[in-house]
Amino acid sequence: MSSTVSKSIWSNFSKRSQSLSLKNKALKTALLSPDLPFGPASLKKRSSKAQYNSPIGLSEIYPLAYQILEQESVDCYKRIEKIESKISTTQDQTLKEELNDLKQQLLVDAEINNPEVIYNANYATNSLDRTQPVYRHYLKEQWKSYSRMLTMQRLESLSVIPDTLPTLDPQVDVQLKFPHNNVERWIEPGTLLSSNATCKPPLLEIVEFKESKNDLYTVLMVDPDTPDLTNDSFSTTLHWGLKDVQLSNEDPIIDAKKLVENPDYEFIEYLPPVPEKNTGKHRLAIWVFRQNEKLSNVTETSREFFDIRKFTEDHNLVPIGAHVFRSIWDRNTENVRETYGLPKGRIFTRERL
Amino acid sequence: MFSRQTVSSISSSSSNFIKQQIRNKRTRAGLSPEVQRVVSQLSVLSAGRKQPRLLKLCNEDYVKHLTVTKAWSLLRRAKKQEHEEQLKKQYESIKEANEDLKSVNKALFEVANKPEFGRRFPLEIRVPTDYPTRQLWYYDYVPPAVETPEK
Repeated sequence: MSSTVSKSIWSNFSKRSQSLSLKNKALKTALLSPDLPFGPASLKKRSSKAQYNSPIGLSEIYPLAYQILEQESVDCYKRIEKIESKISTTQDQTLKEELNDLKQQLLVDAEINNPEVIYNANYATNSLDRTQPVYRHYLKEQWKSYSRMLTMQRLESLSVIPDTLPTLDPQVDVQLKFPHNNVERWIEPGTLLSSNATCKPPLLEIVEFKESKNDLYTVLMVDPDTPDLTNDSFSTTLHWGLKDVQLSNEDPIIDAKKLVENPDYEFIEYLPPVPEKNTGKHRLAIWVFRQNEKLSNVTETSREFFDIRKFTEDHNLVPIGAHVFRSIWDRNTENVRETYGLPKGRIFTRERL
Repeated sequence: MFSRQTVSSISSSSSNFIKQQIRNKRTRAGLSPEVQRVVSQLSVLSAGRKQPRLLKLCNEDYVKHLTVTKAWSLLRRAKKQEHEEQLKKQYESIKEANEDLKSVNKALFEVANKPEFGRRFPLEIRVPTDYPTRQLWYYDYVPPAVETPEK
């Protein structure tokens, strides 16, 4: 067996997190050797393993490249130590914040070229340790390249912006799934869901890309397409209201268990979307806000005629993420109404009676 | 593909025309038959087949490849930065020397900085070429005889 290429900081886990290394031993050996001593570990089929040849010359150049990048990382960690000592001595709060930002950036730079980290970020995206700045950086890049654009496109083309809130500067990735069957499927923004799927509250994941320890969040789910007959218009209904939800990088999920354990999170309980017949597709917008402090004076008790803009203004909330799905009357809607003890839905006709 | 020529041959009676088609070899200006063969063979192939094969790397080797590329770009960046710094220093020292000259002797400074229109390079400079000459040294060189006027 050939020796490891790592001779310095990247093989030293006394100060660095264990999540910065590869868990799979075969892969780790392959990645830390100049060549592939036991063949390509990532290829599963025996025939493709036998066929595989590494590029010529890679085994000679790779240790040199590794050493150069590792040396860069060592320099980065030295700078981080200096900054840490500076942070501990200064009293100025703004300077402290600036230094902290710089430290976070350096922590990313120190590990961004580590082959093991790159491997994890590319091929083990589901189990990344989000407490590590470098993994958050990779996740953010991934999110920016697709999901963020998709969400904004759906919000704008479905006119959730500006029908509910004027605009959004996305900072978090909001993901959502419904526990109606055992299918693990994140809902793509804008999807039309059946009333059966949406009959129980969804599971929300709010992925922060900055360092987050016990931040508080507000979540609102609103339907801006409720018919308002007296004004010959539409009104907004509040379907779900959560406040003071405590999340962090390790625990970014809002699920049923957490809601049962913390009953004061819900100030308006979940009401499933039950569109009345012939009212078209209803948009259900989910808005996520990061709070500066606890919301003490939330007095909303009724769902109807909810003014989301006034609510955000009153409580000084700025949206940081959103999601949208749609719902339409189907044959199951009346059953959902029955289980939630709601009156029978109206049927709208072309001619108003 | 083939050019067709209609030859109307007049048989014994002028009223009776026999139309006959003759196939000649195709003639196209500029392309020899060998080249034409290659062209037609290539036109059959799809664009994807004409490109070089994509290297198929396993995940480990792909990450290694990324590492090598990154390290190479870092090295090149460092080298470029060094060169730029050196040029900057050179420029600064030229500037400083000129300032000194200006304070010591204004006339000399003006002579040194006199613009020479139409002369971009010094005349003594060797014409820059990409490669050295094929014949580096003329070993059999004989200097031309200088005729000395006899008195």
